[in-house]
Amino acid sequence: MTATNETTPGGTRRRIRPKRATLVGLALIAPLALVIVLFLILPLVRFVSLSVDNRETAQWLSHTAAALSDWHGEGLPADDAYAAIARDIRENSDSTSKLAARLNFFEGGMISLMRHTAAQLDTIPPTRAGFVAFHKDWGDPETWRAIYLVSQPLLSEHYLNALDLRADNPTEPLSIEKQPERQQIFQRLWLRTIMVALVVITLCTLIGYPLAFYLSQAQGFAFILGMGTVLLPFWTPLLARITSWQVLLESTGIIPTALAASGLIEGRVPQLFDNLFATIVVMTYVLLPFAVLPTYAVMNRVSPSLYRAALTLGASPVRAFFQVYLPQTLPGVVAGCVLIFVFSWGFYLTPELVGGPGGSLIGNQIAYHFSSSLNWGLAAALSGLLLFTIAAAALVLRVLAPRQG
Amino acid sequence: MKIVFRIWVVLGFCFLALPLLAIIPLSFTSGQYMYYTPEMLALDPAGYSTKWYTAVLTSPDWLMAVKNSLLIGLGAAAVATICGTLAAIGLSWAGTPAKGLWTMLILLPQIVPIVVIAGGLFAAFGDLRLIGTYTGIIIAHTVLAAPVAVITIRASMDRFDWNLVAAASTLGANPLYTFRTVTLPLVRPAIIAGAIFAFATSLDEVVVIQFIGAYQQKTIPIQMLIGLREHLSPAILAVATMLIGFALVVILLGETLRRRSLAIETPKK
Repeated sequence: MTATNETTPGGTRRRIRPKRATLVGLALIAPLALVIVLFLILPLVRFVSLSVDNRETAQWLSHTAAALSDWHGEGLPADDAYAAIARDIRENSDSTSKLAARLNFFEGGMISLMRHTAAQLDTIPPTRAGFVAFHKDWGDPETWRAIYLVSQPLLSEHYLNALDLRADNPTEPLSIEKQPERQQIFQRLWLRTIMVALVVITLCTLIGYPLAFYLSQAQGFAFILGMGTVLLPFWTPLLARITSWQVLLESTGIIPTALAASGLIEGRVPQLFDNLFATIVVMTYVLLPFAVLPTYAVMNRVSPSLYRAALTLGASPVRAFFQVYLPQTLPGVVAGCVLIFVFSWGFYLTPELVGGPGGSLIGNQIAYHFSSSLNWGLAAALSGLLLFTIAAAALVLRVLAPRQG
Repeated sequence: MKIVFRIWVVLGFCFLALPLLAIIPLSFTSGQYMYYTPEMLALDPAGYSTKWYTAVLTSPDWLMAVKNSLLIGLGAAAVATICGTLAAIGLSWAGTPAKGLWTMLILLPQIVPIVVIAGGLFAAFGDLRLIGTYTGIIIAHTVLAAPVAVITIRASMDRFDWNLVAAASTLGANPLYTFRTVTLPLVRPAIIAGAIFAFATSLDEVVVIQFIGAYQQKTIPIQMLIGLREHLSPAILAVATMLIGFALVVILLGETLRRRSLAIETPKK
């Protein structure tokens, strides 16, 4: 254990074989990598797989699945399917309420139908006529659509639902149609999330770029004060920042009170809190440092001499800025924009606390379906779509700025 | 043109600073509500008091939250900094293969939306019986805080002159001794800065605790969340003001140490 000479970057490899250097490097990274794989990657993979993995529910409907294998998804299935579901309910009576809850995700009213059916099962003749006579919903093809979906080990319906779509015929996953009008919520929310991300990116860039430029030029006390002003909100815990904005914006807060007292606004002061406006303002506030800091870092490395040369050669300041300085500093702007996109895409707490129903985003739906409606499959599908988009954005960043760390 | 730029920059800085500055005087209100009373605006001393600070510092709820935040934050910062220091050295070590891949893996907790992480951990911790335990929260916060520590320490390691290690080993020092007497003293400011930033990250975290924590593990931000939702009182402004003070300390200590560590090790070329 004496030599580590080969660790000199690009230096000579004298005493240690490269193989051992590789092992030392990997051993140094291993503890953290292990923690992240065990407590981030594996939980995430398992969680997101819940969007398609339906094996647990399918095992409670094994006989039904077999009986439905020759059903073509239209009309009602034959008597043997009714007999099979009666048998599945009887054999898995412990899981009936869980099964009913999962059926209910795809067809409203299934919880009560299943509860009544399970309670009266011994009195119902195990035939189509018997079931339909017991409850008219057993004669509804939509009931069997839900049962078929939930009897299959693999499920694509959560992803379709996450986009306001559904399979018209459950036996043909590609027969995609739109959800009924009253159940459409996600397309609007995805659009709102994208719109908010774009508005926040634009605002952050418009405010952040001049701030970064100012910081790259400032010296001494002005620099310390400016940098401190960017870093203070950055390191102030989010809840404290949100509290500040609530005190500023809510109807009895500082800004509406001041607006009303100043007489600038006639009549009622418009609502500034618990709406989309508040979501956008506070998200811009929270994400602004991520626009300033990367741009500042790039500007710090860019020499102003090229810009000055353009001026000397007769370019107007505006032209010199757009043709020389802006392209040189663009990598910082792009890095900031991608960062802000990735962060804003999954925002949850800020819209939850300041946005109200009108300012909530996809992240809030994930939390809602995870902890309130307990539709983990849908929450996982929404999460999967979020992660997929973020991966795509990361890829774009790699292509656009391949040399950025 | 110049004047427009100046005004725009001033407005930008005001946007960043004023929301925080606005609540600091308000936290010293002698009233019950979260707005400036006429006495406060008239700078009447009767409008001001420190009663909400007294209320916070004597409230069992808040003291429990402070204790939990310290316990969880220190635990997570310790593990994140130890693992993060090793990883940062590994990432700047010449022999390590696939550095890009490892960097991506380590940065992942920062990129994945926190609500997705919270969902994944809740599902996994249910099976591991880690829901509602300090162990579970410290593990989760270690994962979230580690990237911050690694980024800070790595920036310093990248400027570290490995020739010094080579020189020490040529002089007969073993790797551990070299680390203790050469590498560590030079990187120490960055490691301390990384630990401070990791602690601040844990202190800030609320979504994951909301999912996987129990009432006994409530931290300062969780107690603030309860305050924002239930009984809104200026006590929460006193806490927010103290957290702004905390952020100031993080910046003064952390950023100073980080900058110093970057300045010392820049190889002279």
